[in-house]
Amino acid sequence: MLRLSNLRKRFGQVVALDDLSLHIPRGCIFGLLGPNGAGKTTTISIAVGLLAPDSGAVDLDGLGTPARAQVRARVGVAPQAVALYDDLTARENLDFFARLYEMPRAARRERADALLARVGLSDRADDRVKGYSGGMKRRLNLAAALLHDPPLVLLDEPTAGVDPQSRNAILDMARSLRDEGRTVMYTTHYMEEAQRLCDRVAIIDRGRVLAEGTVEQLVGTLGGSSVVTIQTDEGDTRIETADPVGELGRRLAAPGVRGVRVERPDLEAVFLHLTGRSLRD
Amino acid sequence: MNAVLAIAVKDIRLLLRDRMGFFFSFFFPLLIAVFFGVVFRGGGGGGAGSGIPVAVVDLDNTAESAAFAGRLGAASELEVTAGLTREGAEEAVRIGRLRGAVVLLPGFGEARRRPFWGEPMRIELLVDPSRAALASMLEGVVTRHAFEGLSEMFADPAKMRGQVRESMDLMRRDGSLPRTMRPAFELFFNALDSMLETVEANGDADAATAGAARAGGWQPVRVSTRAVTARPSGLPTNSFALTFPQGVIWGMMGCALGFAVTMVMERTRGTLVRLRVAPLSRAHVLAGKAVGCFVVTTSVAVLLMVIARVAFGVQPTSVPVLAAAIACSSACFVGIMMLLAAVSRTEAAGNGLGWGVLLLLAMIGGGMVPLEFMPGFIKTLSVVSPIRWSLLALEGGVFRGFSFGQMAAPCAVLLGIGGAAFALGARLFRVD
Ligand SMILES: Nc1ncnc2c1ncn2[C@@H]1O[C@H](COP(=O)(O)OP(=O)(O)OP(=O)(O)O)[C@@H](O)[C@H]1O
Ligand SMILES: [Mg+2]
Repeated sequence: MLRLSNLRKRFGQVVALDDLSLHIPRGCIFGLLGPNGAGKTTTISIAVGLLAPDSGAVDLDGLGTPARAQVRARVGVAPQAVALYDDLTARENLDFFARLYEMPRAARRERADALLARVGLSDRADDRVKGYSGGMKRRLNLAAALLHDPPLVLLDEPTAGVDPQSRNAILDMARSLRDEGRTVMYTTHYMEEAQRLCDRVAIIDRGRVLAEGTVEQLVGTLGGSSVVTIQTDEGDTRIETADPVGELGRRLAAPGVRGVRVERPDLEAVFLHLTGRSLRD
Repeated sequence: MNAVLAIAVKDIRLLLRDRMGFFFSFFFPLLIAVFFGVVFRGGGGGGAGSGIPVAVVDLDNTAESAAFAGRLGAASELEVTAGLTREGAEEAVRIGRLRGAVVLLPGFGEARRRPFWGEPMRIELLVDPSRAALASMLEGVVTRHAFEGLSEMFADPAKMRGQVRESMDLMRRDGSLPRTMRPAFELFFNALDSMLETVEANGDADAATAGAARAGGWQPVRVSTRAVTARPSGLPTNSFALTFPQGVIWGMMGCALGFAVTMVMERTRGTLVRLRVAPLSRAHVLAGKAVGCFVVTTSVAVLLMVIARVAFGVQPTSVPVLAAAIACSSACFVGIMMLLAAVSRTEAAGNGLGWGVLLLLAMIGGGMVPLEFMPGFIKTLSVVSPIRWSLLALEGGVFRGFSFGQMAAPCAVLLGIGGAAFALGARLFRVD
C-alpha cells in the first residue's frame, strides 16, 4: 500500500531520518513505535507529501509520490497536533475540510453526520471546538482525517494526552477502519498500545528502523526471556527462562510456594534489547 | 475554485466570530469616523443636519436687504456665512467650502418697499451646476422667505397701510407707470387702504393676508441662478466626509491585520497541514486568503460609506469613482496582509508588528490627522505610505470630485504597492 524507500531527512544538524525504509501492507494496522524525536512525525509528513525527503522515494499504491495532489487525496491524516478551528463548531470544521476535497454539499452533510456519530460527538456537533475537552478534540481530529473516505489513514499519536475513555474509543476506531479494509499507519510511543492494536510494528529510533514484524515475531526473537517469580516463605526467587510454562510446572511441585508471577517479554523489552534504553525515557 | 471560496468563507466566518477582530475591523473605525466627525464639525464648515452652508452677500446695503439677510441667517434650512464679498463667496463655492451663495442685488431694498410694480427684488444664486437639486431647493427657500417677509407686512395692517400710502406716493412720482393705468392703481390703492382700515379696526389680519397673497400675477422677487463650477479641492463642508474615508482606512487596516493573524494561526494551530494535505496547491490557499480578505475589506468599506450616507449625509461626488477607490485600496491591503502574515512567526508577533507598521504608515499617511494639518516634511514623507494614496483615492470619490483619470495615479500606486507586497509575501510565506 505504502512504500517508503531509503528516506533521508536532515533539519540542520539534526538527522531526522537516516535511510529509513518501510513497507506498509494493505489492510493492516501498522504501528510506528519510537521514543520522542525518533522521526515518527517526520516519516508521516514525508509519506503524505508535506515534507520532501532529502533523498529516497515514497510510493502510494503504485501511483507514485504524494507530492501529486491526486495521490495525496487517497490519504487521510490526523496530525499529532490537533488541527482544528477553535471558533468553528465540529460540524463547520468537518464541512470546511470536506469542501477542500470538492465534495458536494449533500455528501458533505451526510458524511459529517456519520463521522460525528462514529466518534461520539453528535450531541456536541454544533458547539464550538473551543469548549471541547482534549479527548473530544482528538476524536474530531480523527474524524476530519476520514471525510474523503481515504484508503490509507495516517494517525500520528492519536491518543496523546487523552483520558482512558477517549483512548479506547480511538483504538476501537482504528480497528474498525482496518476492518473496513483501510490501511492504518499508527504512530505512538506507548508500547502497550502498539502491542494491543497493531498487526505489524516497526520500532524506530534516531531515524532508523531497528526492527519490523508482527508483535509476536518481535517479542519472540528480540524480547528475550520470560521472568518467573516464585514466592515462598523464605522470599522470592526470580528465574529467567525461555519456557515459563515448563518452569512453572517444575517449581510448583516444590513445597512452601505461596504464589507465582510470570512476566512475559513485551515490546518494551524489545526496545531495551535493541537500544539499551527504555522507551519511556 | 470551490476550495478557494471555501477558504474565503471560512476565514470571513472566523473573523466575524473573533470579537476583537470584529471590533477593530468595524466598530473602532466607525467610532473614529463619528467621533472625529463630531469634533471637526465646528471647524470644517457646515456639518450634517445643520443646514446647507451658503454665503449671503448683500450688495444693496439697505435696511431691507439687511433684514432679509437676517431672515436667511435665522432660517433652519441654511447655515449662513455673512460678510463675504461677491467674489469671496464665489470662490468659496468654487473650492467647495460652501454649497452656494445668495446674492442680494442692488435695488433690493427699494424693490421691497414697493412690491407691486417696477423691478422686483432681485436675488442671484451661485450654485454648482452639477447640483441641480440643490439649486432648486435653494431657490425655493429664498423665495419662500421673500414671500414670508412680505406676508408679515400684510399681517400687520397698520404697517401695511403705511406701505400702501408710501406706494401711492411712489406711484405718483414714478414716471415709468403708464399714464392710462394710474387711475386704476389710484382706485385700487384707495380701496386697499379703506379695507385695511376696516381690518385694522376688526383685528382680522388673516383675511387680509390671504387676500393679498392670492392677489396673483405679480412677482415681488426674481431669483436668477448663476453657475459656479466647484473646483473640487480643499476640505469638504461635511466633516463626516473627511472622517469616514479615514474610518474606512482603519477598517481596512483592522481587516488586513485580522486576516494576517488568521493566516499565521493556520500555521501555529496546525490547520495549514490539513490545507496542504488536501488536494490543493499553495496558490489555492493563498488565493483563498486573498479573496476572503478582499471581500471583508471591501464590505467593511462599503458598509461604512453606506452608514456615512444614510446617517451622516455624506454624499460621494461619484459612486463609481469611490467604488474604484475602495477596490484598489482593498487590493493594496490584501498585499499588505500577505506580507505581514509571511513575516510573522506567531500571532502575537503578527499583531504587534502589524499594528506597529500600520500605525506608522497611518500617521505619516494622514490616517490619523489629515495631511492638511501636518508639517511639510510629513507631507513629503507621506508619499511612501499606501495609507496616503488610499485616503486620497477614497476622498477623490467622496468629496474631491475626482474623475477616473485623476484616480489613475493613486490607484496605480495602490495596486503597485499591493501587488509588490503580495508577491513578496506569497514568496516568503512558509507553509511548514
Ligand atoms: N521542522 C523541524 N525543524 C527542525 N528540526 C526538526 C523539525 N521537525 C523535526 N525535527 C527534528 O527531527 C527529529 C525527529 O522529529 P519527529 O518530530 O519526526 O519525531 P517524533 O518521533 O514524531 O517525536 P515525538 O514522539 O516527540 O512526536 C527531532 O530531533 C526533531 O527535533
Ligand atoms: Mg511526532
